Amino acid sequence: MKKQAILIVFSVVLALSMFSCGGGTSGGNSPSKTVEKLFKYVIDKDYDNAVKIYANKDGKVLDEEETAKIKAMLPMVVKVYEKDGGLKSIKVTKETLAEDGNKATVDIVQSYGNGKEEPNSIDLVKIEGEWYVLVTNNMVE
Amino acid sequence: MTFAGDSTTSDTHANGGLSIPSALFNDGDLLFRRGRSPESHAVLITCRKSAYSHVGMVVVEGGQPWVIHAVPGENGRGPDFIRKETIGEFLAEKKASRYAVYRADFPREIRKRAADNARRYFLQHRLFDDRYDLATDEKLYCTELVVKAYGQANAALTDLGMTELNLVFGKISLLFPGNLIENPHFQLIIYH
Repeated sequence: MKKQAILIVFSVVLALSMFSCGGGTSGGNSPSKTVEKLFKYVIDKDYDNAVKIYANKDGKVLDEEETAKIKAMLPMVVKVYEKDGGLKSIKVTKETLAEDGNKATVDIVQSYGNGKEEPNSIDLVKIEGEWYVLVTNNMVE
Repeated sequence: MTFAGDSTTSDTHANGGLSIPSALFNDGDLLFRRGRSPESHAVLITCRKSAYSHVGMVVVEGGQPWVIHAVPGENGRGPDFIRKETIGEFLAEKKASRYAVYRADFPREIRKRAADNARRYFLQHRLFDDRYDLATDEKLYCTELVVKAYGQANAALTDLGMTELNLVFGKISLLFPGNLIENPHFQLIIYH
């Protein structure tokens, strides 16, 4: 009976920890998962959460003004891809981790509603144990 | 403030907002405004090159200046057709907190032709271009209207600096009002 109770508690804790890994709003626990998370938010037009996955070109979490800029730009860029039927899914093709373990590159293929496919290479940085997508846009300086 | 108008009327436009003497305006002038909408805020924070978030082209009809401009969300639930408004409507209090008038250095004839082109876009019920695509003419966004109106008047606006937005998953190049203001063909006439 005691063993059964311990097993139930362990299962609940495990389930909760899995949920928190997948449902967090900042970067993820692996470069590939972080990229997948960003695209899920972008495809769902959940810009509030998408913006939390970006880091600036200095490899730091976005400040308030940078966050506002990216959040304003997200729907504008998404709209452009509606001509291709909208961004529908991505497939991770390669993940490369830097030697120091704090930088990574994830290669993906982006798929659109009209069947178009486009390769993309995304740089990430690890900040306090979480992965973030690096945005090097000239507007975020 | 500097006045350099050469029209003949002297009406002003208030409409609860900013006012400018009618006499100031010429065909083909650009009227910039700093908007108060969330879209305006988005433009202002993504492009810090100017204090203005929107631009329209002036057409003068019987001494009365009008502004022809491409804007989303100002036609109720209807399609976002290119609009033709009085200066007062364009600068109404709820839409504008600042303005500036710029004039191209092209001959008056060219400026008139550009204004005629803008009027034609309005009469053809062209729509606001929500994909910000300079390659297509059927739909136009605010700065695109200006560039196309002058371009089709044989006055190509060269050296237009574009602003690139790159968010990793995709990118676009946009022509912001600030990019137009930076163009050497346009000179400031008045601002507030």
